[in-house]
Amino acid sequence: MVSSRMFRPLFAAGLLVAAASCRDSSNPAGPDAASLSARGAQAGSFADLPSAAELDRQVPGFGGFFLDASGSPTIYLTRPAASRANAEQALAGYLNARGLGVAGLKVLQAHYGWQQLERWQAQATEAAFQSQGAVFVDNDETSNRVRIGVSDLSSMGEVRAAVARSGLPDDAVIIERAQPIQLVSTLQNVVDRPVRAGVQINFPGFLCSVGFNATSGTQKSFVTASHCTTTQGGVESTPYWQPLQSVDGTQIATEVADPVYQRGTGCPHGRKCRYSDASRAAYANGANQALGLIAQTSGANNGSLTITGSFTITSDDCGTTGGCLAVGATVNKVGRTTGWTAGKITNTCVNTGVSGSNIVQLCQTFVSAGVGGGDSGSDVFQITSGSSVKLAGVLWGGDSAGTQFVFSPFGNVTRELGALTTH
Amino acid sequence: MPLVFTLVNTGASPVTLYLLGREPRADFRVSDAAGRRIWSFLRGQTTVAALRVVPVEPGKGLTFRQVWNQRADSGRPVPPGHYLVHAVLLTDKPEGLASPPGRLRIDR
Repeated sequence: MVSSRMFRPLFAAGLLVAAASCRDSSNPAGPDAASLSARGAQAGSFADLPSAAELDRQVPGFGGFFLDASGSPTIYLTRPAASRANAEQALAGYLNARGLGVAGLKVLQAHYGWQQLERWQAQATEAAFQSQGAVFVDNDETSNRVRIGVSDLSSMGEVRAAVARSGLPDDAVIIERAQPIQLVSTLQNVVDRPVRAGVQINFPGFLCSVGFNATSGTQKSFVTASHCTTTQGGVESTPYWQPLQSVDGTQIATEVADPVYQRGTGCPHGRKCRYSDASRAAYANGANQALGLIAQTSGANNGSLTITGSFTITSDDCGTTGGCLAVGATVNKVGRTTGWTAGKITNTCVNTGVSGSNIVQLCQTFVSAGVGGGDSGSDVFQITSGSSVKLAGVLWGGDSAGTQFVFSPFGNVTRELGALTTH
Repeated sequence: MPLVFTLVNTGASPVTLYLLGREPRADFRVSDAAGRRIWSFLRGQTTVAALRVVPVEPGKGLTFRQVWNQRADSGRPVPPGHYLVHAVLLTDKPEGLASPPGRLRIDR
């Protein structure tokens, strides 16, 4: 006999996804159903910090709020004694939800009110950015001043003079050296032209990764997974965008090759099979192709998605079905979700059932390395020296723990897609 | 033993889920009283690694059903005792979107 306990559903204000519990009434033969609720992202279930504008409305003489270096809640007030009670009332929900309590609220003497600093920030922004050396202009809640960052000392005097001319009192401004702020390009957000392997692609309803660029005859193309098309197996002219249609609406490529899955000889009864989960998309006229280039991040297995350079394909694995890499060899992949991961080959030429389908991928390679949803289509390669690599195949799957990936060897890909020039 | 995992968008705005695979999937995992994993629906299975973008309107959600035959991954029936069940919606994050534990007691 089995007994189960039912759980109350979890509800939280602003919850991304919460759950309802229910009984499995559709299964009359079964005993009690264990119903489960999703925990998920619970941001918003705590009282949020009121905005600065809201604090300014509720707290006379408000000049800024922050957590100091020790984590203590701290507020600037122009009239500390008169306004502390208002500040405690305005912040009570936020502080109590975090176990901080209003008694621990530190009050500092403000020289300027928030609205005044907001106006000065706007004036200083207009003035400072006349100089090429300006990096940022902040209404700095930790100093109750307008803080301006400049990239070099020669710009400091120029910015100071411009800000003074705009009417800000010298005492209200802090000017300091700051590192120029660079736009961080990641595998997921970069608009990569020419398109390199490893970056995110989008087709209707899904995200995947570019496997590798290749020329078929004279047609400039990229290879990705077969299941990164509208229908796995068969050509439906799937359109592709990079990184997202909503970011760059110009279609970069169209699916042109994706052999159908076959039943029969060599394929288990009731299943359909291929030797690769790979397809090819031809670049649109004008779209650039970076033949041989794979986006590189800062290191293997470090979780970074920031692009720092490129690998260069200088050779391909053999054209034999199953490939020519041995168990124990280290291979790498770069994909949009888990970035650059590396690990050892654990199994070769494995006939692999695809969970939730009747597909069997024949003669695939298993690797003990990280993988996640969206990495499908990623390039798999061996580093031969420095940033030079040998292309090994196309990643298409993994285990549910994300610790083992499966790829179709290069020889399997060319067996089904035909000869490809990759570098 | 039927298991049901239901997620509902209880917020006022649509949300977008990024889900592993061509179709949304959830794993069901059973642990014994000591916390040792003894059964997982997707153990040893290979899943395609595409990422499906799934919008969920307010009040709508996803439901997953699975049956646990009260056997361990080894195939042997589990002994009477207390067990914990988690369901995990497979997403772009390794940890997925996990349910709180459900408690089960097998009497005999």
